[in-house]
This record gives sequence, C-alpha cells and structure tokens, in this order.
Amino acid sequence: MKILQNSEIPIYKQIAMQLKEEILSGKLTAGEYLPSIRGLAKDLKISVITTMKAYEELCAEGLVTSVQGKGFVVNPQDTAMIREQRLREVEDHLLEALEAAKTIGMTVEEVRDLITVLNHTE
Amino acid sequence: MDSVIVAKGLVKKYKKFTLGPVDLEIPKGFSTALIGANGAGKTTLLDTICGIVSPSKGEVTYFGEITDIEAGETKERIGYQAAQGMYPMSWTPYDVAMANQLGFKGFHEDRYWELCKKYGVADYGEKKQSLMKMSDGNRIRLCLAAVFARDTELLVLDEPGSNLDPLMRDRLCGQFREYLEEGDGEKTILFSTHNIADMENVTDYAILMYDGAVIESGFVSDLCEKYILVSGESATFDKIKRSLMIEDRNMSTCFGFARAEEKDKLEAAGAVVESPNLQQLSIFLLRYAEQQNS
Amino acid sequence: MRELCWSLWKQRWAFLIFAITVISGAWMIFQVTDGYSVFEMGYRTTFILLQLMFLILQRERFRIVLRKESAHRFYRSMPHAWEKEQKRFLWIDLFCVVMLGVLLVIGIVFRNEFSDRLLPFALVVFFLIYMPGTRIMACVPYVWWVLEIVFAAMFLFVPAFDVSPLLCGGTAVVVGVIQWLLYRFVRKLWDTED
Repeated sequence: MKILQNSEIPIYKQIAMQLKEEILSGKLTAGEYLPSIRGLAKDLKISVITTMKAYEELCAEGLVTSVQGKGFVVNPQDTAMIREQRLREVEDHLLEALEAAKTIGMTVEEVRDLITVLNHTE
Repeated sequence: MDSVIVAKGLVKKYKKFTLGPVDLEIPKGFSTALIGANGAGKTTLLDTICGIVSPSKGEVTYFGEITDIEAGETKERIGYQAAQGMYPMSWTPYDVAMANQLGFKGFHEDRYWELCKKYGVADYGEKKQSLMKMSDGNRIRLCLAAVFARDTELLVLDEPGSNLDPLMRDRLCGQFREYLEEGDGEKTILFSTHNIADMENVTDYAILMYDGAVIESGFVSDLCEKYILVSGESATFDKIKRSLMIEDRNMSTCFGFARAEEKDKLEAAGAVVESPNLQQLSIFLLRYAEQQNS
Repeated sequence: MRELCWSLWKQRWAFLIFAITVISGAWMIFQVTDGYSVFEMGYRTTFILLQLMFLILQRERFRIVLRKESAHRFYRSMPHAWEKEQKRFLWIDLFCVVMLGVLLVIGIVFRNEFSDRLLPFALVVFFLIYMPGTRIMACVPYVWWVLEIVFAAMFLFVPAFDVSPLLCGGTAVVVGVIQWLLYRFVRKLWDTED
C-alpha cells in the first residue's frame, strides 16, 4: 500500500481507495481477509480508529463484510455491478471531456477523432 | 461499545481540588487519551480509577463485571505507571526489577532488560546507578520498560510522553500499537497527556478534562465530525457571531470554531469550513470551557 | 516474607547507624548504673537491641506506607497491597508483643531496681508505638522517637520520678484502646493529600 503522509486526502480515504482498487481489480479475492485493523495500524504507524474507519467505509460500499471475531472479509464482487460502476465512471469522464471541448469550440467529430488517436497511442 | 472501565458519578475530594462527578467509559481494544491542562485532574482521575487512592463517591466497573479494584487479581491485570514518583529515588534498575518480581505475577525480567536496552537505559542497570542519578526522561524510560514487561490487559500511563524526546516518543507510539495488536481487541491503553499533538496518531478515543470535569469524550473520528473550524472575513464573522463557540479576530483574517450542525448556515454566510484535527479540537474545546467558566 | 526480608535488607545502613547510636547510649547507661551481673547486663543490652530492631521495622513500615514518598504509588498499584500491609503490621506487632512479653516475664522473675524502672517504660513504649493504631503516630515524623527518648530519660535518670507501675500501665492501656478504635478508621489514611 502506498500512503502519502502529508497529502490533502485523509489517510483513511487513501487506504479505502487503494483497497477498493485491489478488490475491484481482483487482486484481493472473495473470501480473503483484510489485514487486522490493529496490524495495519501498526504497519502504517497510525491510530486503530483510522484503519477501522477505512474498513467501515468499504463495508458501507458493500465491498467487505465484518465477521465477528475474525476481521473483515472480501465480498464476492458482482461483475455486472462492477461493470455498471465503471460504465458510470466512463460516462462521467466523457461528460467532463465534452464540457471542456465545448469551451474551446471543438466539435463532436473532433472529439471522436481524438479518442481514436489516443487509443492508438496507448 | 465494549468498555473495559465504566465510571459513574466518580468524585474525589482533596483540600484544594475536587474531581467530578465524572461519568466515563474506556472502550476495549483501543488507545484512549485523557487530555487536559496541568491541574485539570488527570492524575487524580487515573489514581482513583487504579486504586491508588479511594474515591470519595461513585462507582467504577472493571472488565465488565468487577466493581472492587482490591478484589482478586484485578490490579494484576492493570499496568499502572505514575507520571513521577513511581519508585523511590534510591532504587536502582535492579531494585525496580526485584520489586516488580515480588509484587506482580506476570513480570518478565528478561523482557524488562530487553526493553531497557531498547530504550537506551541498560547502562544504568550495569553501573547500578540509582534513579536519582537519572534524568527525568531516562527515568520514565525505565519505568515504561518495567510496565511493558508485565502481562497486562489494561495499561494506564500518566503522562508517558511528556518527558521524552521525539525519537523516544515515536518508539513509545510503536510500542502502543504493538501492544494493541498483540491483544487483538482484548488489550487497552489509557494515557494522559497535556500535549496531544505528540500522541495524536496513536489516539483512538479522547476524553477532554477541564478543572476537574470531563467536557467532551468520544472516538476521534466522531469528535472531528462533530465540530468544524471556520475561517472568513470580518464582515462575514459579524453575521455569524452567534453560531460560533470561539472566535479569533485579527487584521488579516478571522478564525472560529463551531458545532457541525451550523455548517450550512456558516457557508451560506460566506465562510469556509473544515474538519479539525484532534489537536485543534482539544485547544478550542478547552478554550471554550475556560470561556464558560469565567 | 521475601518482601519483608528484602525491604529490611534495603534498610541495612539505617540498621548500622541506629546500632552504633543505641549501643553507645546503652554503654552510657551501664556506666551510670554499675555493679550488675552479666545476666542483667545481657538483659539490658538485649532490650535495647530489640528496641533498635523495632525502630527499624517501624520506620520501614512507616516509610513504605505513609510517607509522601515515591514508593507508595508503586506499592499501592500492586494487587492485595492493603491486605499485605495489614498482614505485615500484624506480623510486626505480634513479634513485638511476644518479645516484650518475654522481657516482662524475665523482669518480674529477676526483679531489681533497674528492672522496676524499665518495666513501666517498656509498657508505655509498647502501647504508644506498637499497637496497630499507631499509624496515626507514624504520620507525624519522629514524634515517637522523641517520646521514647523522653520516657527513657525520665525513668532511667530521674530518681525522683518514681511513678507507680500501675499508673503507668493504666495510662498506656487507655492510650492503646483509643488507638485501637482509631485503627478501624485507618483505611482513610491510604489517601494522599495533594
């Protein structure tokens, strides 16, 4: 995990975001347990409540479940749901791009061409 | 919330100072900071809870069921460390080890000497020097070595970080986290401090004290959402005066402190708000308590 | 037992100083009242040495329990600290009772002018200092040392001061009873004044 100590983003958010990424990308599989809140707090040199808050956020998003006495377990991810989430993200980003394009007077055609160019460069 | 200590109506009267009545809970498996100025009653509260002195009134429940600290082996489970005067000044590190060995069942002498080495006070042991010859900081290190060398379920430390340099304080915080991890939710730490900035990243639950009373308590994440810091221009502050608990005005800018429910009103008036950290929260709440008392 | 031995060992230097002081005091007494048999000198020496030991034990318990000294925080944080304290006092007091009892018996059996003076003094000292209620006395540093020296001087060096053993013993008993009552409230003495 990569944590920035002096970032604007609160540490618990950074933890939550990174773990979310690992879960959605499949690096953390369903049934796997997240490190204990106290163990993680020790490794990252932060308070236990911070790791707990990060995990609680993941719980609220349905990514993990708290198991009494054992910790937090990764939930099986609904691929359809993930796809929908990502679709929404693509939509949001594209809307942003279109907004920006409008301000400099680009046409939809030009935007589409740009997408193709960028895709080939990848 | 599972509590390792629950106090109801706790009162301790001294000639010139009265603590309480105090109601508090210490959550199990976390690190709780007792924050307040010198003279706020932190030491009195910790002494009363740990059976060093008896309360004038009120009751305290330990580990969920025990109501008398002198009963059974309750004190064996609690690792108490005073801010000063824990051991006689004439004792050497060896005497400290002997005394702990005699007084407590779960004291591990090898762990004690290991920790002495880790904290850099092993030399005093080898030279058989008394506590009197050690600086305040080294003395605290030795005492911490002794208390961490015991098997305990609850650590109660009075100002453990106050006389330590930043490096040692960092080591202490690491020791705290190790202790909590070992316990996996069954071990708890309660410590007092008059300087929370140093211990902020090892604090889960905070209890703030002013003049013998508890003015606020709760998990740090909840408390930091309960209040907001406000900043704005003088004209804005004229408008929002009544919603603020504390305000600081000067030429360049105005700062304020308010309850989170005022957020919308304050933003509508043109101020900017943000969540405080524990240090800021403590300062403002203590100032507010002072203000209310004058 | 281990604790007591260990804390007595910590007091070894005090033992030495007291021993020197008291033995030289005893020597002075023997110079004043000469012509006694070896047994009587042995008796007096034993009594004085026992006084010395009682002083050390008293000082030890006084130091650990009641003085506003650093030790009390560690001590009170130990489990059963209060019970251990009571047991320790009981042990000390029992020992004192037995030893003084032995001395009283010897004094009554082998009576002489010196033992007639010593016995009332021993009774007073006993009740003033060694009954359980004497925590109160131990609160006020050195008062009982002064008292003991005063009584010793009165009984041993002032021939005119011929108080009847009965009056002496009677006063001591009354004082002892009052202190026994006070003992019942002694728990409060665990609290330090800030």
